[in-house]
Amino acid sequence: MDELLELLQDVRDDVDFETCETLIDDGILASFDILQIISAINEAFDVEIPATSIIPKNFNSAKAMYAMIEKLLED
Amino acid sequence: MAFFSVAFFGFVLLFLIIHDLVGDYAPRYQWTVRLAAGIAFFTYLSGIKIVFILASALTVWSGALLISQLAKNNKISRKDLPPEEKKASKKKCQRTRKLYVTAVVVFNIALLILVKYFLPVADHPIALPLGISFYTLQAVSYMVDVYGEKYEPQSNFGKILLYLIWFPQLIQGPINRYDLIEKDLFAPFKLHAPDFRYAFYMFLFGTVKKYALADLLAPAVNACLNNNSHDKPGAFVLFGALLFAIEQYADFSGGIDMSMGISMLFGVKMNENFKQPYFSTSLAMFWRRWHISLGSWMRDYVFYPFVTTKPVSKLTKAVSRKFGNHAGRALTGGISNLLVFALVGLWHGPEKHYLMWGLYNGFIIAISDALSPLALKMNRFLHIKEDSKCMYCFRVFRTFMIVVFAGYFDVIGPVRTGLACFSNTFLRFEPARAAQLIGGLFSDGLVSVQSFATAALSLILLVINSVFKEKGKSPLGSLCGRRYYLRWVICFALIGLLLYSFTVSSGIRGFMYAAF
Repeated sequence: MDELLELLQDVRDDVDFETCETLIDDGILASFDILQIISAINEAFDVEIPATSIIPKNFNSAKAMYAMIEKLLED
Repeated sequence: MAFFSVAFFGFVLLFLIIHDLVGDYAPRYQWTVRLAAGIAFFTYLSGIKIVFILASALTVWSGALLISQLAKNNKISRKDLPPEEKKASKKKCQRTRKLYVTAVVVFNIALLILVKYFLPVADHPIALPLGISFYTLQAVSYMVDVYGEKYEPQSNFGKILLYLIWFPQLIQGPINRYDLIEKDLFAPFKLHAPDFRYAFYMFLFGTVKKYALADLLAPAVNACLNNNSHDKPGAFVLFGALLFAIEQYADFSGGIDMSMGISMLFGVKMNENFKQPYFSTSLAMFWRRWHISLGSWMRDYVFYPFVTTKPVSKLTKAVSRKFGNHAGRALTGGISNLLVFALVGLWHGPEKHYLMWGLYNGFIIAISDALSPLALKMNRFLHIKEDSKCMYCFRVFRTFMIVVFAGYFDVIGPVRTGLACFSNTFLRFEPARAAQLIGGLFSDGLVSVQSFATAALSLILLVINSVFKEKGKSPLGSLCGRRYYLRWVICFALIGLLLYSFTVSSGIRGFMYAAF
């Protein structure tokens, strides 16, 4: 989780990723941010986020992103 | 077979009857009638070149099944492996899948490039296989989506062929996405009066845009822009470019309306391609509202994959660290936009002026993105309200003019002539001489007062329709719900306008985008 938070802060240092749960719903992350986050996650966790996982629910909070990564690592 | 010909109407009617009959007795197989219509239409217009579309369909159909099966098999076989081996096995499978998807995509794109850019310049120019620029992009999107596990692949080859060869989309798009159209393409459909009405109005309004507006302006546009003269007064060129902006929109969106209407008769709602583009407040927004299916294709299959590649995201990160987040994004976003629009330009044709036109669009979007914080600061400093009506009108006008100037690289042809016309517009406006030249168009009989008046009337209808749509209303939809006499009066008025336009027209033209 810490690795993810660090990575997220790297993309946007002005957002409180630890508590915010409406990153997409409230328009806090722009599409370019999401692209950067996806490519950073792919690289750092050695996963490939499929198109089907790129939905608001999975990117609304750091927790949701982490759950998605864990699921990807599991199977 | 033109879209507005006895042969085409006969074709649609014949297949509509068969479609309806099969729908009554064997609804499960109704989609095969759509497939037969597509094959008949394609073969009628392109003959043996049907092998091109068959090759595309065959490669994406088998390729998609293969990569999906590989993933499934791997999932089962790695299930009980220890974590490290699991990872390695998954990675190996991913690599193989990537190899297959790349091979299929490269094959299809190479086929497109070969027939579009190399064969026609040989001694005997050949006509392109019908709709190749459109269905190739569809084929690629399907393959990449299955690779990204966006949806399950289709196991029926006929259905994939239908997705590519669906006849209303072959003339000029839209570039339909599989997941958005598959339900309609393969489901049974019974044509009832309300659907028929809506489809008919859509088709009729499309014909008005195309024949009672675009085609009537075409001679004047050609006279103003299509000659290699560097000496035209700026006002004359600008007049032509303004007419071209109207002509192009009416031609393309009118043609799309006609295709959509025909497609709806068979129960297939195609992807949207226009959303009142001339009400856009920025060029980037314009491209989200004009030829939407091409723009979104470029975004999903070029822009996104490109900015997420390792070198580009590394560059973004490095620049962001040194010069701030905005700089990083503006730089890589800008580079990606230039790439995307260069490709959009080249998609239109291999000529240099299309590349210039693409780069012009990409450059303006990149620069306005890079300067956006500055513009915001300036507006604050000058106490300009961002969301005022005035500002909105200014932005719409500014965007429209940027698009009009883009026309200089689009329609004029040679880049040097386009640039000369561009400089004349600002340095040698010469309105008096332009008025004389425009008067000459009328006295030489190239254009007539009647054709201009008819075009003006159609334009007014188009603007009214667009204003309502922009406000979230659907004029065609609300027309469907009106009493029958009102519907007939409006229909007859539109048909009258259309018929009158044929008497003052200098001839029916093909669709501009059919050439791409």
